[in-house]
Amino acid sequence: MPEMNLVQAIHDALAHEMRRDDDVVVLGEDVGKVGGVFRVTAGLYDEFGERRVIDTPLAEGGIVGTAIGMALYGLRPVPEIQFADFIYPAFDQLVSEAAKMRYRSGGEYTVPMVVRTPFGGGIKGGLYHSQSPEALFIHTPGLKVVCPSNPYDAKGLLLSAIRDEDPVLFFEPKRVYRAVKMDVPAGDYTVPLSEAKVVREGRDVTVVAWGAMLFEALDAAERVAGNDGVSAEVIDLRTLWPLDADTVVESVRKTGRLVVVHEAPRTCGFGAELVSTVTEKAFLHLEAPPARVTGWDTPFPYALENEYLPLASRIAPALVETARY
Amino acid sequence: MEEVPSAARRTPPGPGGADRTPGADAIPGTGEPLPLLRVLGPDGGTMRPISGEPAARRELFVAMLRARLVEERLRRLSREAWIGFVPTTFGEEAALVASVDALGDDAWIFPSPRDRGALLARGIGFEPLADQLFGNADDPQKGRQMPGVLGSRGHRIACPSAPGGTQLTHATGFAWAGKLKGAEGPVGALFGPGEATSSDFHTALNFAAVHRVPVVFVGRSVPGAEGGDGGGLARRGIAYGVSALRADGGDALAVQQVVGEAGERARAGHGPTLVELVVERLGDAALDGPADPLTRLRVHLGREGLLDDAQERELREGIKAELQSALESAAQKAAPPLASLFDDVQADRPNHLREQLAGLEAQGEDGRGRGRG
Repeated sequence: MPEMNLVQAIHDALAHEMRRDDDVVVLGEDVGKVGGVFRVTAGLYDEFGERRVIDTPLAEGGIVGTAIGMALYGLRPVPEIQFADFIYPAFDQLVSEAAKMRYRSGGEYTVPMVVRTPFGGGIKGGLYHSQSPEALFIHTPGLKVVCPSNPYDAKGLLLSAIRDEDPVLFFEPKRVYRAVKMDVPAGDYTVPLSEAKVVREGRDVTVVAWGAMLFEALDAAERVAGNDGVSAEVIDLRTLWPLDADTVVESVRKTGRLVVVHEAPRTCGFGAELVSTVTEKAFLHLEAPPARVTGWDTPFPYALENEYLPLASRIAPALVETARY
Repeated sequence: MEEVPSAARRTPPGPGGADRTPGADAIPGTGEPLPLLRVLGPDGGTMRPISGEPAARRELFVAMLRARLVEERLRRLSREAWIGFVPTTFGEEAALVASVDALGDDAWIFPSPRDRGALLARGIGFEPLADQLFGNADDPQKGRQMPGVLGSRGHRIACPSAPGGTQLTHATGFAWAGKLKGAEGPVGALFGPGEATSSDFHTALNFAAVHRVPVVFVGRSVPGAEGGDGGGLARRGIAYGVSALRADGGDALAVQQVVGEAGERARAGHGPTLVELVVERLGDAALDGPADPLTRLRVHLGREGLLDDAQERELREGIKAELQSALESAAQKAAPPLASLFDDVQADRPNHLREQLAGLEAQGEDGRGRGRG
């Protein structure tokens, strides 16, 4: 079985699906001739041509807006937003149009579109190449939000997302792009949306994470197992919305304790929703207040990036504190 | 720069006024006036040759009349609070109906929320329209949108939304997809003066021009409109590298000609066109007067022996009766079922929505709300 990193896995999913389905087209800034600033779409232009791998002007509203038009026609567009930090000009089209098209038309019109975008920090990107805006989209009914942490899940989830009938935001953790290599099947397979995965079993505290912080959570779980005798159960959400609440709640019913980790700013981050949902559904099982280890309520800094990010060094003490509450 | 098309050459400039930017109607850089096409003269005669079947011109008038009578009724229903708020517009019937007619029945149309004339041009029945006005259980849009805001897939009309101008990029993408799939197009995008100032106007025209997409942008400009026409509309198309045409939007036959020409350009692979239709929004005093687009076409039809007063009276009464019947029927139907509130957020009903619906249903009848007024 081939070994792929995250870039290769996503590339493989796109190439695979474009061969399988003529209606899949890729569009965005620098995706064609340049092959993408992270090389994710490299080679697609040569194989599929300029009609299906489209270099667009620099206008995210136009990229997403025209992709919506293509989806209404019956294509399966996969527009790319070069960095999630630049998604905001497309926010109106995503929230007002893509998210609401099926609902407002009584189901007559639908938007089977996947918006791919690198997100998250850890690459010295500063304010505008490091953001994690997922909460804004989770809060918008009509959008699905997916975030793979690893190459295997990324290919399977992207194939599921492209085949899904509704608009999907596909957040790719850029810090992981070349950092993790693993076995990824070369052929056709999918990872279902809305299924979280318990990646490490444990008894004392449930840790929920996604994206690059999934690895920090695993790292922290290892540390506290060895140093503090704390057994942490780590859950990779994989799909943020619609949420697989059952997997999380079942785990908390077992452990009685919850820690959520995300890079996005603390206030009104998705962690707040997770804590609220778990409290509603597992209140009598809780032995400690649910905790969140998150980015600070600041714009994303350049020099103090590692102090901003909720790395293992911050997660581990939170696990111990929650476990011993 | 594209050559000025023959149909638009050698006509006098359009309505001017002190409130327009000097040179607004001029080709950028040259100062030459952009021609404004007129076909119908004030006496009902034509100022230039027309083609097409006379019967088709009569049918055009009927569609415009239906659009007008629906709009009048909507305004009354809204003011009398039978239905919720509906912004209505008068004076744009030719611009809307004749445009859609000229693009041909195969063309997909992307309108703004007020462009009901497009639906009437395509022959939508009064029943689904009335059902949508009351948001009842038979509303094709399941009571989701404000009254009068609807599309219709069966009539190749996209479902509009309130954010202004977003339909322009959709139209570009839709036409682009068609081009990729070997369909000829064109696709029509309809919009008003406010939307011409939106960011989507910019991206749609830019993308359409760069990628030579077969879309016809049909924009109404209103002299003196807030945020609109002061800079001229057609001339901006030239700046984007898009063909530009102008016509008197109150002249149904002129609208047909320019939009038809733009559609032909798209079919021939010449890419997008921006059509500016200069319209006057009519207050009540101007309705049925000489500035009314219905009057202009009506006078022409009368002169050609295609419609007389008695026939017109009969038409009006017939349409009103048909509309009344549909409205009475629609007003009595029930609201959509409660569970439908949670449908169509996505293809299936996910767990969190099942739970929310269950919670609402558990409240019983008291949780139902007052329903329609």
